Amino acid sequence: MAMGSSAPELFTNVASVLDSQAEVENDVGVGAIVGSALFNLLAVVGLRYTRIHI
Amino acid sequence: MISIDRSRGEVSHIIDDRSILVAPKAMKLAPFPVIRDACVYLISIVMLVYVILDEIVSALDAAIMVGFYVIYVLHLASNRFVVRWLCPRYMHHFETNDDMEDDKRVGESVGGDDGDDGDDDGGDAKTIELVEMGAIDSDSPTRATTKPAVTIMFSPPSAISTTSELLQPPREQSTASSQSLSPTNRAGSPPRRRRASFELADAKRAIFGHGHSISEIDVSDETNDDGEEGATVTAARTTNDADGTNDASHNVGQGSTSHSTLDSEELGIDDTVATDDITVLSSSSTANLVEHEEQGFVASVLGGLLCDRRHRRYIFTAYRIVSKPLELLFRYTIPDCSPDGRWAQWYAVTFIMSLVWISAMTYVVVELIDRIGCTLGISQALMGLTIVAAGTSVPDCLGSLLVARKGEGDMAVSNAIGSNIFDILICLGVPWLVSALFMHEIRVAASGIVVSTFILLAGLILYGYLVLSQCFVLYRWCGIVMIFAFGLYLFYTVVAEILGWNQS
Repeated sequence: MAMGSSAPELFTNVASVLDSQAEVENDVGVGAIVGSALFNLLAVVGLRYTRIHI
Repeated sequence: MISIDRSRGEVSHIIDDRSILVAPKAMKLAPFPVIRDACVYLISIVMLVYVILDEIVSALDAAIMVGFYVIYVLHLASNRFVVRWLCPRYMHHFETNDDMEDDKRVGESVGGDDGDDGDDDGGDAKTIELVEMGAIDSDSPTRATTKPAVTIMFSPPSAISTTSELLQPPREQSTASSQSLSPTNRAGSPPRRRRASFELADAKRAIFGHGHSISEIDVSDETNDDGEEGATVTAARTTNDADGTNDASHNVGQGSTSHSTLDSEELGIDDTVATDDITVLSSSSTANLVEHEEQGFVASVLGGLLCDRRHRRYIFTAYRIVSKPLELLFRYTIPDCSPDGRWAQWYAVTFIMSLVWISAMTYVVVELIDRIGCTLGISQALMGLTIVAAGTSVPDCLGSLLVARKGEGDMAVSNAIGSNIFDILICLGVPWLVSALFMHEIRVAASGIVVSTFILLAGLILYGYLVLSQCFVLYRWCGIVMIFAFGLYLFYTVVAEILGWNQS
């Protein structure tokens, strides 16, 4: 169940790791996670405080 | 709107269903969990910066990250003692939760575990629910005791909170249902929607094997929120889905995250709006349920923007056509474990197949992002930071909002932060560790990511400043500042990419 909720993040990085060759840089996974962390922190928490009630 | 004090496991008070709209503008946070999570988050970010600064991720780096998360979870497991030591006045949360534990047969195995947001009300109750689910999912008595630890270890708070509201003890429900029906009616919801939610309840009951009737609370919430948007919108949606797409609908819902991410440039908005007409239908697995609610959330955000009903209909049609192949695919590959179907006992398979599909779709998305970026000359980092990031954090966002809807804004914040910790330490650490051990070391183009990581650090400092300067009470303007900061960050990322500041 827990895996279900955070599956996209996890698999993004898994796919990105699988995708990358030894010499190729692996960016989508890290980017996705850092970006989504920022999104979570600022946008989600921000939305919460503005009480935009969806 | 029913408010439930989960720590006591009963309906504590009834508020008018509109009261959520006039909820207080400020939100009080509990200091201890906020500070703790922020500190752990800070350490995670510093760790991430350190790991990717030299552009090569070794097995040791990854192992440190995973190990730190394990320590964090162990700390949470002993949270009760830490809290008793640091701030004794929070102990009443745990005392009430002890009563809950006694009622539960798995009380012993969760012992002192409080979930990732252990200091919030009902942290224990939620964890227990989750653990029970884990035990039931594994469906074997021997694993019932071992599974909880695993479940908790890999559970982001958002998952806990999202599932927790699906399961309420029966005695809550009997009161809640009778009391919530009148607000529901007042909110002007059409009967179809309510029936759909009851189907949902049936599905959930089938999954978890409990006799709990679940979703009356969900119903009142949904109708609340739709009532806010306008009841006609709800009516339009709900009449549209009268045909028998029930069994496949959750599959579409599940696939469409990846799908909409995949097509986000052309159809993103259309997709998500259109998926709303399936979100009220039955869902067969909890993973799907998360997706399912998430579609409802995204759609209702966008639905607020696209108020015109006629346009909405075209969008639905377009979405149907686009999603039909995927829908069929999911329908025939994922068993429908709704209670009356022949696959009722196959919920575990449903769950696993859903995960398989999520992973497959994610792989496709990453691959496509890679190629689109290559074709258009956009770096992987930028694509990851913007498009994929928005796509993947929708479940987290959803989890936070679902909790916050219940009035537990405190936990919503913990969710956002806690799931970030999980993302950074586990979702990055574990694949890296495996890859470094068995395949090859990972190379990361540090330039773009490190800047973003520092911005993340700045975002955390901003958050910390806002929280501390207001003495743990956050006002509306704080939220506006944070959203503005996020917009600024997006703007910066895109501009930096266009101007090539990140080229090493």
